[in-house]
Amino acid sequence: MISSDVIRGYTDIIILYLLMDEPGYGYEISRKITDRSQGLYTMKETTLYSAFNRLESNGYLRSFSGTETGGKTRTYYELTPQGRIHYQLKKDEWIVTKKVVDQFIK
Amino acid sequence: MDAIFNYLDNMFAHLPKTEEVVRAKNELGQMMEDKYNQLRAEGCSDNEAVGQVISEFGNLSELAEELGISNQYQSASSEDKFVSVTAAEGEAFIEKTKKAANKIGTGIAAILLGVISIIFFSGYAEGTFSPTLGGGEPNKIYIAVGLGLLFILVAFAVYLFVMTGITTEKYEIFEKKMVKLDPHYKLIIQEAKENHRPVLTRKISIGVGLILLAVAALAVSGILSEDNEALLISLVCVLLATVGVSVWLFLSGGMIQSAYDKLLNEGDYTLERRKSESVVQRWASPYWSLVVVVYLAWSFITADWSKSWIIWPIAGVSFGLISTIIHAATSSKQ
Repeated sequence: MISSDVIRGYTDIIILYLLMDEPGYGYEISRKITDRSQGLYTMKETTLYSAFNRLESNGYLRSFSGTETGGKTRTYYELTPQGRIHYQLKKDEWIVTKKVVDQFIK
Repeated sequence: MDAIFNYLDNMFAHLPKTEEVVRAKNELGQMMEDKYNQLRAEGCSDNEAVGQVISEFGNLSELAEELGISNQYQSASSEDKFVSVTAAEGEAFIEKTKKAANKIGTGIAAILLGVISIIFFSGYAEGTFSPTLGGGEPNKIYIAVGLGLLFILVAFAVYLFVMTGITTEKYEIFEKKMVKLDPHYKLIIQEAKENHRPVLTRKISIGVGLILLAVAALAVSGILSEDNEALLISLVCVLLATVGVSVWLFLSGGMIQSAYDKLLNEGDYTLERRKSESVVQRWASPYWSLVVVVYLAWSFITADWSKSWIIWPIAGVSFGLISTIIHAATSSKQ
């Protein structure tokens, strides 16, 4: 079980990564997170929504209303150019963080 | 499926209907519905799917800040009759209640031990246990020892009660006001209460069983060996000790049960019961003070410590009777 405190700083990078290639909607992202982490981490709905909201107000995401081929109208999120820059910054930060923490892991 | 939307409605019930809040609710509802449909498609039952969706929902307070509604979130839940309780506060309250139950249980056991010592020593002083002492004047030294022990133990008990009172003071608000919980935490408490039910039943049945055994032993020997006063006094002491153990069991089970009831506004803590409960509490402390005065006055004036304890069971049963009448009277008034 991952503590929510530890992962909190990296919810942004997870969401930005999953929107890198194409726009996506809430549950789609949520399921991709669970799948990619092989079930080790499931992001709570409130965490996910609050991250969408924060990323959008920071200008890293843009939301629009879209209709799936099935016919359901959903809110889609897509990455903005600033979002890509933010992703790179967070990525560099994580590489350093990981290196530092690894020094203290036996 | 309806359960999910009911849950969501509950969560948002006390929030203002601003644009952001409505949007958040719709988005969350959409995600939950998608997840539910996916789980059903994967072969989960309706119950399993609802359970998983709700358990993975998260915590609304996380959103309150994001949406800039933390102020409303606070003020909406602190209406006059309500007090809102977070999971951390709820857990601390339950933890404190467990400790308080132990302390009060120990205090009552100490008082009973004091009563046992005064009964035993006054019996000893009158030569009940040893024929060599019998016949003459009761030996005052033994009575003094018994009384001394009684006062020390009562002082210890009072200390424990006062300490408990101080640490639980800030939770007194749960007695009077209705508690508002985060719906997610409410589910946890409901489950905890459900799990506690068999524990409570076991504690009560063991306690009642022990008291009945001790009473039966006293009654049987009272009939069979009427003249053996030493045996009877010993059995009264055993009965009191048994009462101590049982009271401890009742308290540790009952106080936790009522902590859950307070958080859930159930049992004795529904809106109507809270009203009549405050009437009972208003006269409970003068009542018990009066009982203590009568007990001490009777005991000191007649010096009949081995009989005066009978006041306690009588007072206890009367208290139960009177509070039942008050509850009935207040509920019929409404």
